Amino acid sequence: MASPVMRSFDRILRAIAEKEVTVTFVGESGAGKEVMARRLHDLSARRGGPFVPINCAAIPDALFESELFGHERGAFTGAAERGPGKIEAATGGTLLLDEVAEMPLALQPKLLRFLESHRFMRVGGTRKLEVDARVVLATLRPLEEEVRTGRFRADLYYRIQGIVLTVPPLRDRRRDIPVLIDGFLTQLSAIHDCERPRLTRSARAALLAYDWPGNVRELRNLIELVTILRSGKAVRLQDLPPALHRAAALREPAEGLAIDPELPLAEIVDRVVKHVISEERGNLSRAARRLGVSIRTLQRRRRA
Amino acid sequence: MTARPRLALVSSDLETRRRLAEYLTGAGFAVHECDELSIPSSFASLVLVSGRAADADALRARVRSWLKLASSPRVVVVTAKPSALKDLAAIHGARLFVLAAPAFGWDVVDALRENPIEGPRGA
Repeated sequence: MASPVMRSFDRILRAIAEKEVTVTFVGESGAGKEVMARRLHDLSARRGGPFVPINCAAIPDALFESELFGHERGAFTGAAERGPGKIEAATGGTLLLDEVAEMPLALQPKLLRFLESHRFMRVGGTRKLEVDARVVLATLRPLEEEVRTGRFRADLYYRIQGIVLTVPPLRDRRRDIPVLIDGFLTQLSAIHDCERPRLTRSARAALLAYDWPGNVRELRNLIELVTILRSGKAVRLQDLPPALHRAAALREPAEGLAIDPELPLAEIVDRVVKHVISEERGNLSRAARRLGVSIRTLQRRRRA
Repeated sequence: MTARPRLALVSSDLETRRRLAEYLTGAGFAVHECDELSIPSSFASLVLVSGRAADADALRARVRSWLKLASSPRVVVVTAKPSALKDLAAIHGARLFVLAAPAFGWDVVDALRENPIEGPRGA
């Protein structure tokens, strides 16, 4: 990554990866928490083992225990075969519990017991199994808030607290945007079998100015859209969603003249002339002097 | 101790090959680097990183020959022209994994680990 903030983030990951400490990534949706967790895994001594992500918000409460801890045959209707859970799948590697704050309250003591002993029982099982897996967590909001509101158990929170790393949102690391844009354009053109589109300067400026509340995921989705719609063509400012036009306009200086280089030359000249005349409060001779043309030329341009 | 799964990493771009080989070695694979591969069947997996300028027909022919010659190896291809391999992927879905370039090293690792890799036949 090009931004100093992410380079420094990577230095921290390198420093802690080899240590068997619990790490919690906090960050907005789409900021790259899972990518950072994967990077942590790859930098650790467990990189030869599996990396198993599980999104706690995407699993219905009733299935959560079986999904995480696995089940024995006949443990419930439909459990025709023994099924290992994600914890077992992560043996020798890293288990990422994404959106951990969404984990059902009733299951949190079982996770706590596993974290303390590395032992657990499958649903319907009678035998304790031992698994060596590093557990890494990710959450949208700091877990303290969830503890305060009673949605997350305090004892589990204190057990997993470990090192908390905040993944910076994309708007705080704008220097990464051009790198991400180019990577996505190349990859998505390949995926959709399109000719790579070309971003005009005004479109690129708007992409850099926008705040990206949906972060990298939102950027990728937008690049996917323009890759498909503008295959092999130029992507102009008007091809981008209105929110990006507004961002581009807001970044322009409050006073002064905004020139869109995509406009025809005659239109640009016209705008410059009008702007200078307006600044000179309609005094054509002063405006002409400033523009380095005669009053007659200026009058001609106004009539054109 | 379990033997490291052997894989051949094929790419004509030396820098790409070196970096990916380093990553895959770290992830637990025994990597053989080359820019051409004559005996694909001696490896559990084959990874091909195809350059942007690679001809789609040549790429398809190469991958097809690997799939034909070697019955057990898994083939992972990173390419700027994934559509060129759509037909082959439909036929050999369990063995052929096509990733659009640029791909993360871990995308390659995930494709290699999707299911347990069988040992090469006759190796």
